[in-house]
Amino acid sequence: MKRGQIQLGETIFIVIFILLIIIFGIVFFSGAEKEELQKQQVKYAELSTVSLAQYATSLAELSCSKKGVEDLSCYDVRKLEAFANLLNDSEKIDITREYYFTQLGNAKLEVEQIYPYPDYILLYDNKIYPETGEFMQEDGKPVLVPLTLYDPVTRQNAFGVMTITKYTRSIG
Amino acid sequence: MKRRAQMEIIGLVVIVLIVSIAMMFYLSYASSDSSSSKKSIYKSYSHNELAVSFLSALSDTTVCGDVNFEDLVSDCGIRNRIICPGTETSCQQLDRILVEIKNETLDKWDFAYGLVINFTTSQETIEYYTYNCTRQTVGRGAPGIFPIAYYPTPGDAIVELGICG
Repeated sequence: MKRGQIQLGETIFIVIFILLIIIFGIVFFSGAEKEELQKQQVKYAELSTVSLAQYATSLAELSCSKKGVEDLSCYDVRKLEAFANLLNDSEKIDITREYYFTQLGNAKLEVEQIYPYPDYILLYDNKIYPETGEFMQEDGKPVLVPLTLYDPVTRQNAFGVMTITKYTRSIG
Repeated sequence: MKRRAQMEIIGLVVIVLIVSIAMMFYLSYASSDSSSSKKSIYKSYSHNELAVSFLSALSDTTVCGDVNFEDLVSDCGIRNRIICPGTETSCQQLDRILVEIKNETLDKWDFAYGLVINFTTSQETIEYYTYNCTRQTVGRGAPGIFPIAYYPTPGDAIVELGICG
């Protein structure tokens, strides 16, 4: 074998080796990028649930008001029942439903009374994706917010928990 | 001469390999580190909100008539009388209600938590810990602290809920 051929062989070997490293790098980075994108997606879903929780727990239309002063850490049971009836009363109040859909999106809000006796109110539940009409899945862990449930008729406070669950589309 | 050149190439290859492996380790470490900090945003929000709201809601809860949980804690810390219909003293009733509520909430949700009521006047405490939560670690998690003054009697009680994980 001539010396020129050996040098050419060495050069080809180096070029192939460098190409392999570059390909390996691209594959690795694209994998890492994909993983990073999935993490970002999870992060935004979580932040979206947090902002939904903040909105849901500060709904002034549901809060207790004693002597004209609103207490945002307390929800009025009668207002909760009226709100649930309003949103679950299918066709006739489309504008109201539309308004709350723009505010709450695809989510579920439930209020469970724990003490003195168990009770349950489903405030809002919308799992249908508007563009395709498909049913969405619950997204991870819900946010749990304990709150005071005030009954203006009996003037008693109960201990309750609001559960805020965000729905997401299943991809893939 | 030829042998020396080959050795140099092998040396170069080894260096490139070492650098690539180091880069791989660095990148995998960096990505796992950032994901754990992202997780904590959601966790810390939900746990903080939970701890603070839990105590706030608990203190307002009506126990009987005009007596709420806060009044029950005060009476338990000062006189321990029977303030609601029945035979239970305020301390017995306080403990029963606390267990009833925590069983249906914190225990059901399977949280590691510490729920403590410290009565500053009587050295007595009511405390519940689960999993890795102990007296030493409870304050490190998401803490909710709710002081209840015995006013007009001097002294107070501190109700504390720490979510450890």
